Amino acid sequence: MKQFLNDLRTELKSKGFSDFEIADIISDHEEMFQTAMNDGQSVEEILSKLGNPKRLASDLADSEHKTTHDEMDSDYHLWQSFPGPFVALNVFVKMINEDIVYRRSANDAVHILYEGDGKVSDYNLSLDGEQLRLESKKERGFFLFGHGRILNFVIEIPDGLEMLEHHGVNGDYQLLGIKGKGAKIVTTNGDMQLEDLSFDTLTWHTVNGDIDAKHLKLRQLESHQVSGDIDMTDSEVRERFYVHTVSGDIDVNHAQIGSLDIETVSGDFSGEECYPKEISFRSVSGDIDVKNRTRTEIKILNTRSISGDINIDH
Amino acid sequence: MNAQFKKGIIELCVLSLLVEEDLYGYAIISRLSEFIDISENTIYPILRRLTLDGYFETYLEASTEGAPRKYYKMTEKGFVFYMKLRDEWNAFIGGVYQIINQGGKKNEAIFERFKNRTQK
Repeated sequence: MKQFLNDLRTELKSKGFSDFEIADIISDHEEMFQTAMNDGQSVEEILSKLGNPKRLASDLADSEHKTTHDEMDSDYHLWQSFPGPFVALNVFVKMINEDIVYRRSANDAVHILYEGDGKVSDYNLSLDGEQLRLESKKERGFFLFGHGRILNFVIEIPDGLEMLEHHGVNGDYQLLGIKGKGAKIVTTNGDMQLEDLSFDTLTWHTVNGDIDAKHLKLRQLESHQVSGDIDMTDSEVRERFYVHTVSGDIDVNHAQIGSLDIETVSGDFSGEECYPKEISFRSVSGDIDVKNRTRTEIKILNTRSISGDINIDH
Repeated sequence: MNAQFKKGIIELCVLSLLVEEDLYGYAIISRLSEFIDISENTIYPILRRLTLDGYFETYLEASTEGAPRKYYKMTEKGFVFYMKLRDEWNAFIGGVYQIINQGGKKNEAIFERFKNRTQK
């Protein structure tokens, strides 16, 4: 079994899986192997059912590392490129209903792509030094009366990002594979998908939007929301993970967190395989449930809920 | 059998098990292997991807023999996906069945007809 797990770990590493993903896959196989052995099965039998490590790793890579860029790009046209390199790029974007994808640039330039039935002349785009601005010229009220011709954008960001600031109302946002010092996202209804991000500080404010996050590497995360849910997996927040919510639920799986600090009225926190060093949870009726396969020391500070359940394995 | 094709069928089989009850990983694998030959395909990557796509959720539950086990549970989204896949499969396999059995199911009868037609 040891041999199998070691080989699997090596194969997964060579396929570019993250440490979190590897730990997850390995512990699943440890469990399956153990269960099969308890059933009295021979190692050969188990291997024939689970598959050999090389095969497993390559099947996992095939089914998960799908590239969606190519399919998506056929609809998008390049609007403008700003050549780099940048050392402290600031990106400021203000939108209304537009969907925006922020993703990593393949070179050191910023590229802006668009699609949709709107006109580029309805938007201001400028680069001043290392300040990039993209703004919708229209006022919010205009859209409330239903003239909805808009564009959706892909903004490709190179290395050297200092700050990304985004304001939107309804659009959906994706942030994929970007790294930088800071990011701040303010939205009312938009949903957010965050993947493979590395930031010093990440802050978001949302009313209804849901957040789906995986593979984040952050020092600090601050989240303010009213009813949006957060679903986070395979991530690391080295210092403080702060959430302020009214009724949004928070689900964290496979994470490493320095200090977890949650204020909620009725939202629940549920963490599986998440290992905060300390927890502070204040709530009226929210539940907190932390389940880990490995026991670790968790310091519990200031944790109370008036009618919610507190359940922390430690 | 074509590996990609078989993978799709196994996916449907996995969904069919989970629509009835929550199961842990090894139970899914051994349940499938009772009925079909899975040596050419790996099941775990299918389970993991269906989970990442939000068709399953997982939770840990203590077992009598030590470490807790990860159970897979079908979500509402998974159920909708399952129904769609199952309908597609039924429509497809129904058509295939009609074609391959258009002259009856018996091998002898098929052989007889083929012989008569080719030996003039």
